[in-house]
Amino acid sequence: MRSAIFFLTGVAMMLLGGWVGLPKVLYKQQAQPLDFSHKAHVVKAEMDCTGCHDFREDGSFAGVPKLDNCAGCHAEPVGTTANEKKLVEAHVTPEKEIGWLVYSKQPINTRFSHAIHVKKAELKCERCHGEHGKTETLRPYEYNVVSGYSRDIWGRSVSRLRRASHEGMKMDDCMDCHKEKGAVAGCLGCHR
Amino acid sequence: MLKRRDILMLGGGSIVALPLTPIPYKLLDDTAIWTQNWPWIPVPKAGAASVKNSVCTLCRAGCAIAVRMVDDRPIGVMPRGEAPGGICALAFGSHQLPWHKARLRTCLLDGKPADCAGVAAAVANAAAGGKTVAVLDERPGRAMSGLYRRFASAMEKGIYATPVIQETATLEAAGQLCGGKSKLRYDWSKAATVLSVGAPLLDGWPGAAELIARRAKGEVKLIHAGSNYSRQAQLSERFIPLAPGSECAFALGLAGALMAQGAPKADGLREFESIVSRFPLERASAMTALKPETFKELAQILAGNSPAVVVGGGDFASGPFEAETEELLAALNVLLGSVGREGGIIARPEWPGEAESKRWNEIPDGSVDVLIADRAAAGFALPWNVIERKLAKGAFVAAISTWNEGLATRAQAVVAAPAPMEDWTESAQADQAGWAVAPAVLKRQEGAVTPDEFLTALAAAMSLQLGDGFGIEDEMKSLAAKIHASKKGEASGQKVSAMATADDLWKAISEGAAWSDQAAPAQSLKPRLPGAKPEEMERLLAVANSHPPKSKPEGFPLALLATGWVAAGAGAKPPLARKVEDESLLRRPAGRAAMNPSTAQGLGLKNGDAVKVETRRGEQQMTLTLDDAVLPNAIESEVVGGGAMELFEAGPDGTWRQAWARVRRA
Repeated sequence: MRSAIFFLTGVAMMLLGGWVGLPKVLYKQQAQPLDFSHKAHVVKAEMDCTGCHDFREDGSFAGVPKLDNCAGCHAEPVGTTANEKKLVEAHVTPEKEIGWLVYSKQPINTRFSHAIHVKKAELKCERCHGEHGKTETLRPYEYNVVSGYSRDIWGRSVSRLRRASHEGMKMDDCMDCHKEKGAVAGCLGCHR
Repeated sequence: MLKRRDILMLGGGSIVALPLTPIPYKLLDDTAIWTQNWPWIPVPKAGAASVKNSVCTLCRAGCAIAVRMVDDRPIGVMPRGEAPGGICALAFGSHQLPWHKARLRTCLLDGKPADCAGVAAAVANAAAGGKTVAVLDERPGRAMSGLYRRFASAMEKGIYATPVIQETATLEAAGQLCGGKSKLRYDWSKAATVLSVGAPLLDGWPGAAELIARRAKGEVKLIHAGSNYSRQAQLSERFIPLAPGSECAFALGLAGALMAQGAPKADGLREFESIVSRFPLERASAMTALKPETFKELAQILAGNSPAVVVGGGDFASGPFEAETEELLAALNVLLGSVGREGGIIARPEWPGEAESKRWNEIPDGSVDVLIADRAAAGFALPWNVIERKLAKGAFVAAISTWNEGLATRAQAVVAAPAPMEDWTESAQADQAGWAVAPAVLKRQEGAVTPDEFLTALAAAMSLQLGDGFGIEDEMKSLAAKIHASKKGEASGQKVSAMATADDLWKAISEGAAWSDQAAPAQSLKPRLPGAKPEEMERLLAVANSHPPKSKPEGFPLALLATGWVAAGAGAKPPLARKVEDESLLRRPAGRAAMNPSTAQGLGLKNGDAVKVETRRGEQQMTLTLDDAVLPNAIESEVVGGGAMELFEAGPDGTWRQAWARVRRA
């Protein structure tokens, strides 16, 4: 009986460590340089995603907005929030880019065309980015201390079971969607 | 009190539960990624992504490509819609070539670094005193070719020379049968049957994409005759294996079989019949190792699936055929009624880039005092002894080359030319009126000298007058102006006649549009079969009877055949192409020899053996691969990289179809 108790305790400790402890040890958090409310911009200012995350004239995706995008409206504060004040004083006025930490930053050996996925395949932004466009604050950026990748690449769920369709940006996730849509890209379609 | 057993049970429980946690799987995944991201692995700088339209100029096919750029660096190459057959592994890796290890970093004089002026002074010194100076251009038809021609004609004894261009060899022979003035091309769009004799049509020739597409739809039947089971042979519906060097006998035998089926209507038939009658089918059968029935069957297929066209030209590694073989292959087209017929060989328009040149093999042996050779990758191999034969004793050789290989290693002076993508390069299709330009997308390496800059410096050192506008950009604009004035053809779908000015055409071409003129001029072709003169007849029979060469030297029992792809003459192979091809063995890597297992067994050799392949010109160490597709008593040697090419001896006519060899374990 005593042995069984120790055995089961070992099992329980390992399960607890693996499922609860591992994510805490494996991922470190880093705060964004500035908080940002997508909701305020999308709902109050009635902007859409491409208002800031725009496509260039040649059709390519401009990515995370540069300071110029912000400065277009916020050369002077238009509201009263501390964040906006910080934006203007610490970035817009001294023309210092904001070092956003990109949740969905892809590995260096990968290339991804927003233009093809958004314009040609007509995917909604939410398909990969979930409800990020409706958040009021920016969650901390989390990165994997071993691989250095953003946690969003693996997905929030450490088991990758029962996750939402937008969770995870591993190759398997891309392949699942490609298979579903019957889209063929080949190795060099996504890999450098 | 905690006992040892308790700790063991605790540990045991943990170990049992470990596979039920994400720890092993997650850590394996993360560690794998970590090993791909070592801090010392160079990470390319991020920057603004863009795409520039261009063409691949590594061979004459001139495939339409899009170069992916980050800031001002090319980072990848993709095919464009105008290249329906896609692009090859060479083109895919072409952006890697400027950093290739074989790249020349500076001009060389006697193997030591020199500047452009120093090289020009040395060449001028060697040419002083009215010496014969030959300029060898392996890619005729370019604007740069125009500059070479201008330079050669500015000298008292200047020769502008070109090697045999394989894609046009049969066409030129057919042109001769039509009186010598016609410019001809193959009509791939309507051909029903194509018999390629040694020619790698689907494996690097211009026009391959159209044939591949038609073959996929079942619109064209492809038959290949040759001495090795090449990629073309694999892609054809039927492969006819020929004894090495017996192409001429094959052509004459097939002519006999065609004529036996019924007398075709052709001028000169009676004289040609007398040649054929002196070369009976049994003789052709013995020389080619084909059954007489094969000739008859082939003749039936060709005659029954018209329009049929017979294509020669040789291949990238084993070089061109003798002129007589080409003449007989052209005669087969006449017998088939394919010359001047849609789907066969038709007239093509001339274009302003064409210029008269002297064929290298027509230059008298030992007559060239100074050779200036442009090593712009032509796609096919050109062995040193083909060049050496024409050089006078103590001749001075200057090579304009991007790579320190081949002729550059033989030359006293080497001009380090820019790599592809660093300067304007051109693609001029030899077998039709076509021209495309690849713009520079990368800053030129310091020390690189463009061919026109070198010629200008050399002209100054030799006190030659080259006239105004002697520069590649001016010459290309001038060529575009001439095309625009002709109002012919179209540039990537836009008709030249609809373009307002020559500048509009130049702008389109300089941004990656390919110009071509496909219109067949209204010209009646009246071919005549060869053999009208007795000496002509004897010449054709002599070549047919002399192959395979009877002079097999004692102790050299194997027929050595050069094999290789368009890269045989490309100078350097991008790492991407090498990795894909070498690791997959889709193409034999450099340093490989292949032999039929039965031949190897007789010599006591096995797969993977290091062997020495020896001919009368020397020996090379290679790794042996056993391959059922290699003909018995033959050995195929991959000539990529040039080493094995040294084993071949070119004849007076500039051909090196085979050599006699022996093989022993190294």
